[in-house]
Amino acid sequence: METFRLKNIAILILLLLNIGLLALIASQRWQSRRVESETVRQLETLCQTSQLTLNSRLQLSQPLLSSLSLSRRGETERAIAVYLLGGSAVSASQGGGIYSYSSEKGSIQFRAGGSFDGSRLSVEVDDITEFAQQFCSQFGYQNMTADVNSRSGSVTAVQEVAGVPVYGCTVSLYFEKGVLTGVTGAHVSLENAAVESAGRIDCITALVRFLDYRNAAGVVCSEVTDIQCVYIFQAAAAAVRLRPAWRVETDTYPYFVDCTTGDISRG
Amino acid sequence: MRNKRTADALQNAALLLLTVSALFLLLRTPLLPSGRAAASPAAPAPVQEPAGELNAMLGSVHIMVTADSEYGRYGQLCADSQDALVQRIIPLLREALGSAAELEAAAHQDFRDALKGSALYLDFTAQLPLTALAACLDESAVSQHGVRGAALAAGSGEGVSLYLRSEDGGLFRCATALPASAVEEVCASVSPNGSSFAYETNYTALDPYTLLASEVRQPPELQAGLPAGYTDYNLLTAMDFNAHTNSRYTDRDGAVVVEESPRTLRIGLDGKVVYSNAPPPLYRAAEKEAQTSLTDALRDAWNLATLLTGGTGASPLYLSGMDEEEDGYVVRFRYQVEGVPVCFPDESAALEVTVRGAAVTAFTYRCRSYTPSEESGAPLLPPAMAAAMASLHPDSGLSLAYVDGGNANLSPGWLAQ
Repeated sequence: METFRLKNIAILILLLLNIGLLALIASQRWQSRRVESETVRQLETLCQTSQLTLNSRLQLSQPLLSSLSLSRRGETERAIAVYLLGGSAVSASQGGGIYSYSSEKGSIQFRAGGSFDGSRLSVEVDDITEFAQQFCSQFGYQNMTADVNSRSGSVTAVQEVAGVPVYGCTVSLYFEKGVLTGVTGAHVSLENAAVESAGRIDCITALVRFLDYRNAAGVVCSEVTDIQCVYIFQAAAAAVRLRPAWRVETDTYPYFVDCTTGDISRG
Repeated sequence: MRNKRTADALQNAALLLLTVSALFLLLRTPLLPSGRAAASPAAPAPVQEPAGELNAMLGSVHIMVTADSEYGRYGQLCADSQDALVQRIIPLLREALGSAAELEAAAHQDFRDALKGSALYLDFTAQLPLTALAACLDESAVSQHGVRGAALAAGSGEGVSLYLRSEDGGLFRCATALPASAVEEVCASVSPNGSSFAYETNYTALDPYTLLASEVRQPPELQAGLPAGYTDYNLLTAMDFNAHTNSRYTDRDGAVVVEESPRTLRIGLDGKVVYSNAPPPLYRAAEKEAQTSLTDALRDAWNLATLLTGGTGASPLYLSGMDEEEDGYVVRFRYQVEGVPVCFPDESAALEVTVRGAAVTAFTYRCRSYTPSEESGAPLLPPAMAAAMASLHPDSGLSLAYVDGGNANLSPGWLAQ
């Protein structure tokens, strides 16, 4: 009988604890939403006074990305070379972190910073669009744009990692009369990537910074049509990095707001 | 009896459910860290930057960029390693050095022709052995040529040519595996600012490859002095001496002299520290049996520089020269602030380290601390006027520098050297 009562008391205590915790979480969420909506309202007011419209479809509560330090991945380089030059492509180190892959179809160089470059290629292609689409889908490139006439022209695309576009990490394929004659671009892999630092500037702060920049630099635009957290490819002296940035699409040009430093550059 | 068992089971189930639920809710409250990682496609462990890397000692450089000489050149004086353009050029130089073919002598006219196309020229502001430069870039080089400047020229072929220039007029060229597009991309991203080499101007008395920038940012005024950590105890501790030794005395100049036979350390009141070590060795150099290599000597000297500045809180040091001697090396370091070198009136180095055999046998160190001041000083002379004045001294180069004569405040100025 005693155990029965004790258990009931414990159940009652746990029930009250659950109710208390639920109330705490609910109030915290309500408060953060209230702060968020208040901030958004203030941002809209600020923009209105500067004659800048924020598109109603903007997602202002997107998560921040972290800066990543990347390592080189030889397997992917080999796969790209084999795709473009065929299975007979042979690799050779040129020193200085430069590797070249060569076959009877030409030669492609892969550099330490993740970029690759091949000219004077001679790769017969039946269907340029299909060839480019397959290449892009195999190596994670999206937003493919083709400028091809009479089986000559170029195809470009931007790499995405985990669904996030990496600006500066593009590929361009050049064709002449149905023959792939050149390739240039960069490719990164998240394998063995290391988080360096989390971004500090959230979406709303980025928009406020952009507004300041617009007013100071005399940027001509009247509407922010979209904002998205993206990566910017940076092959600098120390390492290859992906720096998170907010891409602010306007009715004129896109701009990037660095998530760590807040620096603004035109896209 | 059966009802009792059912009630007991229900109670147990409720207890379990409520406990799990409470724990779950507790984890979602701010009372405990949620453990949710920053939103990121990958969340591996943070990177630990390796300490003591040689590339940290590379000093500031002068940069000249040419995309198409018809529109002029872009020049920048005293760009340090944090400069965005330097950060883009250094990987290219590393790749070029690493993939360089055999060096061959080059004609100055060929070099100047190459500099008319897409090219990146770096003036290291001090002559360094090629091996030392390569070591600073995490590469290796077998040649012992002295290098004052290096140029990456895209040329007409597919690959980039690497030109190396020494202070005595020597010029060498080698082919590299670096694609021309890599250099062209950097060149195209920079807008010309009207800078030129001295050989392209009327200042023919100057060293022909002196970079004459058309615009120069105003460096800050500096406050100079001894760092707060400049004490006997800190220096002795940093150098693995017994900090409480009684084998010390004060000489007539007020300097503390510590003798731990065969090592002697003299710590001056003015920040000058002199170390000497009669053979056999030594101080902290890696234990090696044979003559140390240039890279090892550089590493030993850099480790010493890091210990001295870290131990006293002095300003950081940068490599400014290295000489090979009969039985060792002499490595020199200088101070620089925001890329602008700090010189001493007697033209001595901030730290000069002698490495013989396999050990540091002597060094002379000027312990100083430099802090940019809020005050604005007199503006620099216009670059054209400075070039005209420098050209009165034949074969001199032109750069920016601070001269530390012991004053508390230092102003930047032009230096014809």
